[in-house]
Amino acid sequence: MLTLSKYGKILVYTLLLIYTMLVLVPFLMMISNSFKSMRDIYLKPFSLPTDPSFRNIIDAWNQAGIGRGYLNSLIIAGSAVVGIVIISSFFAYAISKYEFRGRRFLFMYSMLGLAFPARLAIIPIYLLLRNINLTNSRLGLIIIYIAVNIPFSVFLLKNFIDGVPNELSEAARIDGANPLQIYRHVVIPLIKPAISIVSIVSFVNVWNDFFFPLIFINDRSKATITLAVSIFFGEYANRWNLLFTSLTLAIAPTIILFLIFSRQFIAGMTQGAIK
Amino acid sequence: MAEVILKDVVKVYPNGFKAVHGANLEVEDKEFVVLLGPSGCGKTTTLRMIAGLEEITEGTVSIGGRVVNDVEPKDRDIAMVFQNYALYPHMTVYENMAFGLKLRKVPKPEIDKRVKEAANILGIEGLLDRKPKQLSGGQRQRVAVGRAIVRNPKVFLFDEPLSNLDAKLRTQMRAELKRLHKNLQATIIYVTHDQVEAMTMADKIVIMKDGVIQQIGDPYSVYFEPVNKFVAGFIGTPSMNFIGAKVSKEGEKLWIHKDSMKLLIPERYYERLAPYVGKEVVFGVRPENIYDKMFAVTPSEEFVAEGKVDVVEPLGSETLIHATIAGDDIVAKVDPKTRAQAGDTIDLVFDMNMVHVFDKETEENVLMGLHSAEEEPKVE
Repeated sequence: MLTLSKYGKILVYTLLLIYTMLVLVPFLMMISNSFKSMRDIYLKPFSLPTDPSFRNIIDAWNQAGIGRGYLNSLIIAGSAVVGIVIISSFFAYAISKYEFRGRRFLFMYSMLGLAFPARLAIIPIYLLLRNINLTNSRLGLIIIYIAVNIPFSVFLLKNFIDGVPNELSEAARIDGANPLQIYRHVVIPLIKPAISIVSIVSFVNVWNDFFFPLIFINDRSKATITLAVSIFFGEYANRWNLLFTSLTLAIAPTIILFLIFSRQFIAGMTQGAIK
Repeated sequence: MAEVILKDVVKVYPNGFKAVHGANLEVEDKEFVVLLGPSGCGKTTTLRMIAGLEEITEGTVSIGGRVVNDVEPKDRDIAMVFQNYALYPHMTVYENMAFGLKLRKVPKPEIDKRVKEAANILGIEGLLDRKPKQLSGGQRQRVAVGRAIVRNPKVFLFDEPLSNLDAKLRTQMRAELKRLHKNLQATIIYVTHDQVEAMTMADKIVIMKDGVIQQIGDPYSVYFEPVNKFVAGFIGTPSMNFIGAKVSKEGEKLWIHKDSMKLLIPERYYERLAPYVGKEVVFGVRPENIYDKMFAVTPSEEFVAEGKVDVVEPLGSETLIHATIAGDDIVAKVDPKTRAQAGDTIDLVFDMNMVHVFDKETEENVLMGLHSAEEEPKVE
């Protein structure tokens, strides 16, 4: 354990405090402003609400279609996460534990996705999806998100699966397990922390994404939460109160999700699969 | 019947490394066979080929009369115990032992019965609800053995199962495994680099080096009749002393000769050694066949060599003397009442009926077959 001198501690805590403020203030402002009227926001943007009201929440909910946005985002992010976890874990299991020609190539190929953002390829992606009639479709978005999140997930899961001793899968093989049973009964239970990280990170990624829905979704009934709240960004005027409110509503689920799973999340980040 | 037969088994790894060169081995039903050798000698690879975890490049492996080259490990009717136990960390002891049966769709009451029986045999009934993490090394080892027992396989394969245990526990588990073998009446193939384990447990020892089987035999024959210098040096602690010497002839008598050391060779070896007269050989003698002259029964000058004592190690039941004879370091296991001290020069008596002579080039035992285990070792 590293120990710090008294002054060192003061310095570190001061820096941490400044950093925390920098991160928290915009959040707190957003939340506090979502309970204010437009007038209040213009006059006292940094104060707490003088006359807190839930009016904004009701207005934003109705005008932006937050409920429908939640539902669409939940469907899309939920399905994407399921797809990501299934595909990446199978893929990572195969390239981690099986010897076959091209296994190194496959790994490197999937890692290329980490180097190049998918947005670079937006035109080919668009043409591709248009050809199979998946523009303006939730399924289209789900497919894109699965593809976009695979590189990171494979990278993480492969590292964890590499840590599962080969003897365990060999013992399971002798015990009579087929590859699928080894995956299901031995590998998956041992890499649970990694699976929860992959799930949370990709859920948040998908939930927060604005770019792909903006390009692919024209139909308001299919709008994701990020697309839904964007209606308050006007060309000439911004409706700050509703904007803040809807943003608060948009990020609330991911924050709640993180609070619930933070313990697993941190455990997963700091430990290997097997000690 | 569960005999295991290896016929000309070869293993070449994809990188071209030849781990096993044409192994031939017959393991009889209910036999306890130990594959013994230094690390990298191919013993584990051989075991893994029998288990089906490693593909067989050439040759055949058959278990119970059936060639199993292309049979999945689970269908070979074997169970394996790994060096690091390989218990499933997320399952309890009970689940670990039941896993194989569950996959085979054995009915639940039957699983329960078998797991409890095995736990009873191994004395781990109280641990069934624990996770492997909560167990000591010895307990984990028992669970690993239990996982093998419940399956009731034809053949048990052990891959250095005791090497992660401390010395005391190892001695205890050794006896337990031997007892288990007797009770289960099973065929066991056991890999180890520890020659004491091999000597104490095996019905038959298979000594390997660089992927080649050197010798197959019961503990006595590999000890008393090592086929070559490698086997002679590998089996036995402290290991056999080797002295580069010459066979010389004076009149009708043959001698092992090096500088000041000159030892008379018993007549029954003359025929074998005739071709070596005047040539360099490697003279081998085990520490326990060298005596302090003071305690030898009938010391004759023809069997005595002078040694300069370097170190004396009293072990209680015996004393090890590290000495130099004619420039070669040797170890003698002598009577604990010896008065030899470091720096002394003492007379050491060689039991010439128990010595070995190895060809310098081929390292083969020239006197092979002349030291049957039944013969009383005697001091002249």
